Amino acid sequence: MSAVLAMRDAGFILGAYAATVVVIGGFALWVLRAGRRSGELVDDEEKYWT
Amino acid sequence: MSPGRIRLARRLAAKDLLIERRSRVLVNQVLPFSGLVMVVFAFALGTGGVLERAAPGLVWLAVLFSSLSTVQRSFGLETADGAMESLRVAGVDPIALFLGKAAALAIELLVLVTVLLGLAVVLYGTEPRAEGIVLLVTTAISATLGLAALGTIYGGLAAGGSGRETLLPLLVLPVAAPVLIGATRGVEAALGTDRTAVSEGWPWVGLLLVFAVAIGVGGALAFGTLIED
Amino acid sequence: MTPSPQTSTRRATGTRATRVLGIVTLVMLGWLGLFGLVLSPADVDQGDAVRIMYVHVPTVWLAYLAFIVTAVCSALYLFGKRHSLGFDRVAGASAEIGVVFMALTLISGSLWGRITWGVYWQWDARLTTTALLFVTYIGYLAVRGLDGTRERRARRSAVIGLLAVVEIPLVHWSVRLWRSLHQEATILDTDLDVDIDGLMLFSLFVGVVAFTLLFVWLLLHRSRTIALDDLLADRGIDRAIAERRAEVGPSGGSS
Repeated sequence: MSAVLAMRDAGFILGAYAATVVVIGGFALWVLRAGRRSGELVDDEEKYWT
Repeated sequence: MSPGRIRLARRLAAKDLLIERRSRVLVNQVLPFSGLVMVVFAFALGTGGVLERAAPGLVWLAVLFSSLSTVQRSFGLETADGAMESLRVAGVDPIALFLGKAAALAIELLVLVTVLLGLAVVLYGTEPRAEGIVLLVTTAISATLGLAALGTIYGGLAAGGSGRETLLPLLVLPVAAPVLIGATRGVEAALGTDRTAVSEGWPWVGLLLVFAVAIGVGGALAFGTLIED
Repeated sequence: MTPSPQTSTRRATGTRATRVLGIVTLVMLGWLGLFGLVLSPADVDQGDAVRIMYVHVPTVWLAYLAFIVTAVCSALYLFGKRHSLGFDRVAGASAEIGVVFMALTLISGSLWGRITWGVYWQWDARLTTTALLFVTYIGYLAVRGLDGTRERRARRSAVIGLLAVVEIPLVHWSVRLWRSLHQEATILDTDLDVDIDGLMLFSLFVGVVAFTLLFVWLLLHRSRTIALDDLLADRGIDRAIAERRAEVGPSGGSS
């Protein structure tokens, strides 16, 4: 762990990974939440994946 | 490419140009605007050597921005009173429709380019050289054809109001990037900016022509679908 | 009588398959972090900056894949006999995901550039083309947002999606030709000039697999949600028409 933090430019590198986690995580959460919201308004019979 | 289609396209282009001649929107509004843009560039960039070096690019930037209003005008004519809608419903060949509008647009833009190049000579101190004239004219025409095709496609899409017209710049500018790059480099070579040789400009003309053909063909085929209701 | 548990909650866009896919994706992403940041070695030339590449390269490949999926689905919608709207929905979902991935590409790329070149941005062929593409597909999404019938949206977007794909080589060539003229100071070399060590290649591989799985997972969920939203919108219109008819009443008089 300390080796990772001791990297040169650790800030930028970890920042890139953090940005990835935040953006992907945020987008995935938004996708799931939008799906849940819409899913509650429609009967299961009309969903082609159920 | 049947003669009937070409004749129809010619009539449609003539119609647009006649409207322009009567209403003088290009002459009274767009040209002054683009001239103003050229002047304002000088304020932003200062009158040192930068202006002369940047002149080719600035001319095409001004053309690009002005083309947006020209396109909107061109299609505004069609949506007011549902003119294009009537033509479409009457079964007018959409390819002819596309070619006609694109041709009229091309002529209007060519006028614009010529005036702005002249302005650049006056305002920015650029001087065309004899050996570059052919390149200059060819570049101008090739670039204009591409821009006209581009404008006609996205103009057809963005026409009709309700938040659509503001979409036009967003759609056009990224796609117009190759034209901006190619046309600027072509004019630079023609003028000798940065000691560019005339011969270096011709590959760019090639690129501009490929672009014009690709977008022109794509647009002609897609136009019917785009203006469909 | 106890109410059946199924009547109160309706299902969202997940299925057992997507749950499994999601878990595998998370595990792979975790591996990517582990291998990328800890287990793989630093590069001889770039140093630790190469670690960003394990994220940056997959995101750019997946962004391109997403846009290709959009183009293919656009074509399948437009030229297919049945003009199946399912293709339109996948095209739209894929473009959304592509835009997100491309944004990540630009972010990770500029951080890498900050380390390697000292600048967040430079006007080289690849970066410039990526930025232009990013804006192009934002335009595509804006076109999808225009009002109109489902079919109109599908038709318009399909055309724009196909045109966008045609533009990609044009934009790429012109920018590349442009930048190749200015080959000064190529310390700013953007080619991934890495003497690929086995472990580094493996990390890259993990990244590509992880992001591909992520793409599929996102695509499934997003397309299903768009299908639901379309259904709801259509129903909203039907209801509005029914209400209007009810207003007018059996006499059929105008109001």
